[in-house]
Amino acid sequence: MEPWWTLFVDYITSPRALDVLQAAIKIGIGVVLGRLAGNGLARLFADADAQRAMIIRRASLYGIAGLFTASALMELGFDLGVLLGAAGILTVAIGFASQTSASNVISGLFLLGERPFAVGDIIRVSGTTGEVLSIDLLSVKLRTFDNLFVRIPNETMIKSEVTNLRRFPIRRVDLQVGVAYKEDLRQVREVLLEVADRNPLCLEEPPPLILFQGYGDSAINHQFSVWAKTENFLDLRNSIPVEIKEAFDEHGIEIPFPHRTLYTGSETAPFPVQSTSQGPGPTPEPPDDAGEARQD
Amino acid sequence: METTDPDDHSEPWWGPVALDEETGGRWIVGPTTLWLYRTSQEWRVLHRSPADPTATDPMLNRSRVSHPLPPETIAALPEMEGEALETSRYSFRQTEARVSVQPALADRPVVSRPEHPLHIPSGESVTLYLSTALWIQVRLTASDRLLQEVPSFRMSDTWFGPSTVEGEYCYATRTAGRLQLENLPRRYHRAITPLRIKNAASDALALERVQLPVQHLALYTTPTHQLWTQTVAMTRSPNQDGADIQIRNGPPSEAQEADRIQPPRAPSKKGLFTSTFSAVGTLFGS
Repeated sequence: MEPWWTLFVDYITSPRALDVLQAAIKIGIGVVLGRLAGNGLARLFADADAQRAMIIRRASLYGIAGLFTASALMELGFDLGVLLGAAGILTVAIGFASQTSASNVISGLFLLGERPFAVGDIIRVSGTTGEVLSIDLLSVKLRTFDNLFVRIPNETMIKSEVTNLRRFPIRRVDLQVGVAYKEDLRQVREVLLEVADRNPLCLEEPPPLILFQGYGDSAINHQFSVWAKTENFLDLRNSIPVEIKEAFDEHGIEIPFPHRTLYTGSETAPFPVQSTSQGPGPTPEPPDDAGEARQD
Repeated sequence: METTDPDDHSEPWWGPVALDEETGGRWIVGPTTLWLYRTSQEWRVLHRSPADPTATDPMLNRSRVSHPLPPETIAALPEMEGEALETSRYSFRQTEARVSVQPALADRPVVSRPEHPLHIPSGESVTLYLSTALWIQVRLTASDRLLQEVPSFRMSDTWFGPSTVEGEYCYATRTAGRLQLENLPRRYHRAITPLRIKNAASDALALERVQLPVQHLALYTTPTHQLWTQTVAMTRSPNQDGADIQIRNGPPSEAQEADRIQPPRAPSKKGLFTSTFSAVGTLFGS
């Protein structure tokens, strides 16, 4: 019996093995060329746009590597026509078997075409807010602000509401401000506008907006809306409430908390109220000390 | 110790200064105060934080330079001032002795709003004098490196454009819209831009706001240390909402003898166009 290795040597020295090797090298060259061409094209056509760069890179890699693979297969004696026909039948079978993936791929193509967001944008999808890391064949990858990696299938992206927080250059900060019923609303308005005027991050134009919201249970409610550059949105949202509180304190404007008045009907006498502490302080002094103090 | 006289306003606040090691200097320009301190291996730049514009009056007109200051003054600063000071440190193998404190124009366009709308009838042309707050640049003279720049007054931000979707991020300032040069108060921390507006259209032009492209303007100083920029000419042609902007070369005619001390921040583009003058649509509702 021949040892297995002579068979092996026979095989690898045959011209057929050489062809296979050649084909493998060809595919390797295709992949490398595709990558190089992708990087070059991306640098040429999409210097700043991360998303376009990604698409160019992928297209050139798949295209060039695919051509090289086809040529390598042809050299090996495969008939591409037959292969493609077989692929057609296979597609139907695979399509049924992998409906989800196929729908994700198609959705991904639509996402790339519609461009509701680009790589680097901040988006909010069904409660998840994060920065878009990549838009791939099957899913969109997000990095949330607490540094978690979130993968959202393209199909979900297409079906659900997506909010792009970075699409427009300016944003509005909406604050709910409640003031006590006794306050002069004109003065409140003036104070609020002055606060907006003083804050340099708050845009002068579009002008700040004060909207009456309603007579609430314990406060008159207003919506105070100021504009900021999208990048300064958080800074303004954090600085404006502090400044409103300071200005209200300065002008003696009360921000009320829920009040409850007890009323027993008009027929009864007022509630008897008895004071238990002797002094003006909220906590009565211990009786021993008080006695001593009186003796002195 | 040589200290420049604080009340002598004949000397400008800008210009080169030589500081020995372990000494500092103080520049009071308008509402801002800036300190520089040099050690053998670092430059320290302190300035009062412009975060609270209410603390200082934007029109405060001061210009004082004191140097050299001993290290104790600088060390005592944070406690003495009782205010938020921003400190930046720049380290070198060996610091150069000479620094230059320079005025510069704002890094974004400035939108000026006259206190009362100004109407320019058809066929008229007027010259408005607008003043804008300057930035203070600290440069190393020998290596011509910019250490830091701080605004002499932090102007409020604003948005200038046809809608909330497109437009330009600008600074906002209010102007009295003075038409006579003699009425314009001279302020050390502001530069004057003559703005010539020509209304060639058939209807009157209501000037509600105007955008000055200050980042494309150069800064000039007269022998009496007044700061000027180039003249900006705006022409409104018939059937046109906005105006064509043109930046005239050289110092303005009001200050012929002025010398250029600062080039424009950005090269000026041909055919700057602005859709200026009127309020920005009604897109900002609730």
